[in-house]
Amino acid sequence: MNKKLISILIANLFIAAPVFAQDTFKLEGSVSLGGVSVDDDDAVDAAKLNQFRDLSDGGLLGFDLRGRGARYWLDLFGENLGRDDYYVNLRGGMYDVFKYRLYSDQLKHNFLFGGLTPYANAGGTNITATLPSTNTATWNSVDIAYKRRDTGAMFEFQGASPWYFRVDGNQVEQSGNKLGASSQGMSPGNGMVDLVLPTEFSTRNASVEGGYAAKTMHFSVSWLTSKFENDNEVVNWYNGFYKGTDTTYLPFDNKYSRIAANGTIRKLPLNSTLAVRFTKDKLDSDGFLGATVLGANGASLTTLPNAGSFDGKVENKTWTLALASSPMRGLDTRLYYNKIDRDDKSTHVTFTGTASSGTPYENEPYSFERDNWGVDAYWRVNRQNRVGVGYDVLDIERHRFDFDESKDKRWFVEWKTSMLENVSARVKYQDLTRDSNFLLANDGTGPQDVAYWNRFLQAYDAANLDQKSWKATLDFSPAEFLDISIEGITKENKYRDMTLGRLKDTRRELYASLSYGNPDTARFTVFGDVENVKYDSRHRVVGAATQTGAYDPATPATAQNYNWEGTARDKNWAFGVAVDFPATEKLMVKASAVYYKTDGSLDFAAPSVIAAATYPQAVANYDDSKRTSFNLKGIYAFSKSLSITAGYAYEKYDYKDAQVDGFRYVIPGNAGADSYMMGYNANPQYKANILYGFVTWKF
Amino acid sequence: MHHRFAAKLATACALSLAFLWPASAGAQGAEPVCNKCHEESNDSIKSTPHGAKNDAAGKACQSCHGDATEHVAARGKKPLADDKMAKAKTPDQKAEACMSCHAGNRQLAFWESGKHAKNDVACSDCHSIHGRNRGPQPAIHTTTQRPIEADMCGTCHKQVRNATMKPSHHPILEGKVKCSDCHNPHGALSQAMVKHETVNQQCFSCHADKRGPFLFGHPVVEENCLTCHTPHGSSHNKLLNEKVPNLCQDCHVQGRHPTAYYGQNQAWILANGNPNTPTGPSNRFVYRSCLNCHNAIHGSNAPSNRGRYLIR
Repeated sequence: MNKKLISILIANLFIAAPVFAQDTFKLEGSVSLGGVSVDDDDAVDAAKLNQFRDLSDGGLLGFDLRGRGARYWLDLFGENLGRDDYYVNLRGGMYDVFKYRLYSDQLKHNFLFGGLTPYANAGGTNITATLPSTNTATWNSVDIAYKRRDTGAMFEFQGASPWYFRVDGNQVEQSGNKLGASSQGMSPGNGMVDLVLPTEFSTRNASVEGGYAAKTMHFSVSWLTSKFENDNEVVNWYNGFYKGTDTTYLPFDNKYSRIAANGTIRKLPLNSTLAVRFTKDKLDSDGFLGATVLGANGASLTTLPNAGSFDGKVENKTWTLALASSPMRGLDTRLYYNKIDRDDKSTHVTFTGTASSGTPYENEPYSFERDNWGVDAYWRVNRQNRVGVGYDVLDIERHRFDFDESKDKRWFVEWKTSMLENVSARVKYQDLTRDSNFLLANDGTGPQDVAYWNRFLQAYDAANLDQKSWKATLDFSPAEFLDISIEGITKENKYRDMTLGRLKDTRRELYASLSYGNPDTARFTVFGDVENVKYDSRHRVVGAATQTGAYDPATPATAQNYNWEGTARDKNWAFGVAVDFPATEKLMVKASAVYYKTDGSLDFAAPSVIAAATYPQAVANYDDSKRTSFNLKGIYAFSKSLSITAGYAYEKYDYKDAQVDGFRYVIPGNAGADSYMMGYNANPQYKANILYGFVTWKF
Repeated sequence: MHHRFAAKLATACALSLAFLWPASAGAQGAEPVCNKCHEESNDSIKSTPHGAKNDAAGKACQSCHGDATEHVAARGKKPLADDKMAKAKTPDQKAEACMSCHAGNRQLAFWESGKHAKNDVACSDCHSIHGRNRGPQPAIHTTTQRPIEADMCGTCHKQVRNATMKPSHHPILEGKVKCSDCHNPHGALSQAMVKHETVNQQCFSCHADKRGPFLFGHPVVEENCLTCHTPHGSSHNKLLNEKVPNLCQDCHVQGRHPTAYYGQNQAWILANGNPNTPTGPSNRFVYRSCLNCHNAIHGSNAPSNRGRYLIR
């Protein structure tokens, strides 16, 4: 933990003590001390269980302090002290004069326990191996994880209200390693390797804000700076296919700065509130350009860039204006306009060295502009009924090779009613149409020209689209403390004029919950959810470019050239129940169970001319998982100041997926083109029994 | 190092000086007359800022529940003349009562422009001033004792509540990421009330290593992270909204391996349950599929074609 931060916290408490003494300041709180024991011995790789939680055996220490006076207040909270997921937070202030916060929050993100790699010095900047190496018994064991610690402070002064001033600062440190990978040659046919990449990142953020915040108007100006530093911008590793030391490039240091001005004026004519915002930011990264790359047989190939270094520079400007009005009783309207202007001024670099094999490779600094405006209106017909309509337009200008302009037009209509006693219902329909200017519609000279293919390929993020969505909710309170809620959602995206690529995706979702919240008796909640998502796409294989109409999807299929279609499905089910039950006056029992199941699949449709041996086979297990978790906790109060908490949790995670079922660490290849994997996500299933308990002393 | 120390020293000094600032008048914290009948309600606020600002006449109570002069004079036999929090009040009327004091809060600068105000959400739908009367939330075992903010937001945002339970998720249920880390529930001018101007700037505020600028970018990534990722939770690793390779193939439908189908034939185990041959599994399908080679999917600083194809 950050010792300096703790010192500052303690120092301030001492400084503040005499002041508190003058105030009618009362301190109360609690300290908890206990331990946790976890049995996950059956797990091959318990990283998923420990993904964001420190479930190692050990002690538990926490405190919760609250001070209240007529002038001052203070909250000090800490938990999991000394563990990987500790959290300490101090907040306080003087009412209407100032407030502050100091905190330190850590988590450990675990990706893989007990992986295997043929490389030595995994996680370092010079990863070595003698390849080929197919005997995993000689490999090294590796864990992949990093710790992320966020330490920061805030101070806000309101003593000269309505003027205020605020400073924020924090430092995020990430230390450990991440999973990386690389092809060994230029294509996957030459094998790939998993790499453990060093992760020693530090991001320092600071911001200052000053403004005027009154009931009728608010103005503020702020400045933010953020500096990201990466201790390792290059990792060298042995490439078994090219037979030499290869290089992977990691993120360069970058620096971000932003100024923002906000303003809100209330009580304008027509009972309006006008809000405006302007921001301007700049992101810089300076890096070197690799002069050579590794080629076959250890050759050093030149890259020959036309610039000495890379000067990354992106500037964004945004303007926002929103006018919310209530021109007459029951009518609420909102007019808004948003503009985002991204200007990528990064160095335009072209590489023409021997690494390019005659094809110049150039980067494409990407700029775009987004203009968005719209209007919403809601009319409360009577106290029980409210209708709303809205219209929204989004214009995007892109500096992209395939689409240069898009226009989204969206409208919605909704009705909310509470005509029946204790029942509230809402239905909303939304329709979106996107029209984009596709730049490659006339590419190529004919179906024998590979460029002709471009006419039929559209990226779905910008393709013409018809979207329809429905959302309905029903909230019902048949008795005091009892709430029943049902929500249904359907959404369909149809990508118009698409021959190849994603054609359609649909969602069908249903969520239901029932909750009883009488604080004097047993309280409970039950929920059940169902989700069904489907993605349809079409693709074309061209195995014989010389065949007639090779690059035209309308050409009848041959055994070499044909279209195929895929349908990917995700079905999810969730069920949960939780009960809080005061068993006796001194004993509170809390129980919770959650079951979550994901079921994915992939189906194909392909012409019968494909040879039976290679005809695409459907995938039945595609990220199929089941997580069952159960918690039982009892809190026994011996007295007003002493209680004991004891808990048991059971968690079981099953996972089945065609991409990892039957996983092997090596896929052999010819002439060094082996693929070496470490086992990430290959055995994430686990079963865990967690026992914990702690004593809490309240004062 | 000197900068860090200076920053910490400045913080300590600022805090220390702040404690010496003269207090404003009006902070009373006295027991209100309302306590005589509504003790439980008073208990629930007395150690909160509302309670601290209360006085013997019940100033804080009346700021929400309206003028209680006649109600008190009649010893409760007369109902409150205009209880601003009465069940019959509409959400905007209830919000107006809160805004009568809190409109000057910088967090509420864009309340009227936000989606919650627009969608009939009252402050009291989320802030239970007199205690929480909701059922408990079914949850996995967590190591935090703090309330999970998503439990509150999830009562309305059920789709999001469901997403947080998916195998790939931000550490929301674990208490390490809060809804309000990304969204301002009190109103924002940005889409989905995210705190920053755009989705990408919001994501980059934590994922600073992804913000570049990279020598070779990935335009879709630079425009909108949500083209590939779903932020609240996914069945697929890395919060991807579709499984790889299918997600990549939905855009990259041109040339060489991106156009080929990848099914059970290319897996470790064949459809009949037998292991594939040693060389049978395709490294374009198994394991991490496209990401086996294209590791620098958010952008690469590698030169020439190594960077262009996002493989180094």
